[in-house]
Parts: sequence; C-alpha cells; structure tokens
Amino acid sequence: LRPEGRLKNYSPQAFKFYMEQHVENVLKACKERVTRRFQLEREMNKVGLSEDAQQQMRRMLNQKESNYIRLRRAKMRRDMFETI
Amino acid sequence: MSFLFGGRSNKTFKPKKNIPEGTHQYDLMKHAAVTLGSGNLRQAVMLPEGEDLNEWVAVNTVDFFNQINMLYGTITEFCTEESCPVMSAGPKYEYHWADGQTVKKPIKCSAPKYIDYLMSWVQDQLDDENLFPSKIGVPFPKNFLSIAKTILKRLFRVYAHIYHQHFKEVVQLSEEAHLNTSFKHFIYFVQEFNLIERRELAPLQELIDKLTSKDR
Ligand SMILES: [Zn+2]
Repeated sequence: LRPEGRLKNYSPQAFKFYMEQHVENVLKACKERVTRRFQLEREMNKVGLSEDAQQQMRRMLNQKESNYIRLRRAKMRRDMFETI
Repeated sequence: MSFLFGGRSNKTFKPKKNIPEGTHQYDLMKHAAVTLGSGNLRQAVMLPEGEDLNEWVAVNTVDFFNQINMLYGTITEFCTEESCPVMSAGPKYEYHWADGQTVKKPIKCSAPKYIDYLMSWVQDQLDDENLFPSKIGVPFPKNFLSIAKTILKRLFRVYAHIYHQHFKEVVQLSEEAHLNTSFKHFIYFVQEFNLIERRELAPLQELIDKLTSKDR
C-alpha cells in the first residue's frame, strides 16, 4: 500500500524516452552555445569592431543565452506540473 | 532566510556503524558501466562562458528534479510501506524527514512517505517565484546557492534509495543505463560546483568512483 501523495506513476518507456532525448539535447545545447560564441567572434573580426563595441556584443549574447535558459526552466516547470 | 535552509546539524542523516556491506553492492558495480551515448557530459555541466552561476544551477536543478520524479515514478509499485518501512540507502544509512520549515523535528517514516514529502518539498521550492524567479530580469535571492545545495542534497537521497533498495527492479525494467546516465550527470554537476558534501555522498561513494573513474 502506498500513502496518498502528489507523486505520479510513469511508465519505464516514458522515462527512458525522456532520458534519451534529454541527454541528446544537453550535449547539443552545449555544442551550439559554443558555436554561437565562435560565430560572433568571427563576425566581429570581419567587420573590425572596437574593443568596447565587442564587449558590448558579447554581453548582449550572454544576456540572450541567459534569458533563454530561464525561459526554458519556466517552461519545463509548467509542463511538469500541468501533467500532475 | 538562511535559518530555514542552513543549519549545521545533521540529524536527518544517520550513519549506522559496524554493519557489513550487503552482497547487492556487487550487482550495482556490475551494471555501473552501462550508460547512454558517448557524448561528453563532463564538459556539458561546466558553466558556459559569461553565464550566471545561479541561473545555471537553477535550470540544472529543475532538470534533475524532473528526471528523478519520472525515475521514481517507474518504481512506485515496488516502493511500498511493506517493502520499505524506513527510508534507507543500504544497511548503513537511514534518513528521517525534516524540512526545517513545517517539520522541524525529524520523523522516521517509510520510504514512499519520505520521498513523497521530499519531492513535494522540492516542488514547492521550485514553484516559489522568490527562490526560482521565472521572469526575465528578476534576480535570484542572495542565499540561492545554499537553497540549491539543500535541494540537491535531498534529491541525492532518492537516487541512493533507488540504487540500494530497488536496483533489481530497475534492471528488470531495463532502465539501468538510463538511471546510471541520469545519476552520472547529476554527480558531474554537483562535483563541478561543489554542491554536495562528501559525507552526504557516502552511501553511493563506491558507485560514484566507478562511474566517474573513466573520464576523470
Ligand atoms: Zn523503496
């Protein structure tokens, strides 16, 4: 007998599928983020921005990346709790 | 707010002395090598250049909560009042529940009850906009890292219970590679930022050494 609680049952298939997708996404996100940074540096070199302007661009990209993971977290949380 | 989460006492964690290791340790080790994929998770846990540490810890903490929630959800039928009358991680470690907020005095309870308390408590923390802000531009609280540490320390106990008491069922469900991958990712992450004290990891130390030895 299980106590009444908020925990939900999941099928092993659901968990396995989730994990497989998740690991793939984690690795992909890591790679893509490095690539975006690389691209920015390359573009900036091409157009020859001043050091100040380059710093500004880097800060903007960092902020965008940071906002993106915050929104992803908010979304994950909603998805998770809506199904419970 | 640190009085809610901090605290040096460790009354919810009771190592029992002088009890020999069970033979199930062997099975754990035999299966420990099985993981998913071949990508570099060690590199993926590192703080991306220019990222805020709190933001990074927050998104990963929510990720691990979701994984553990689903993982435990696959074995709930095996983790019952009868099979697990106390929350333990092998014969040497037993956990009593206290959250320092509504339950201040540690209570001894069954594993399913403990894990239900634990996951509900974590869910409440993740849902709290003051602790885990979800709107762009809202800052994290000053003590965010200590809150995250407490959450991760408690989530580790669910892994520890599953590995010690339910690994047989995990193998039956052929999800050991998925569990190992989830746990390995979790360990890489907490090691990278020093988020869980070594003595808290003791119930799975041998497994941790094995899982992380190859790519150190
Ligand atoms: Zn159990």
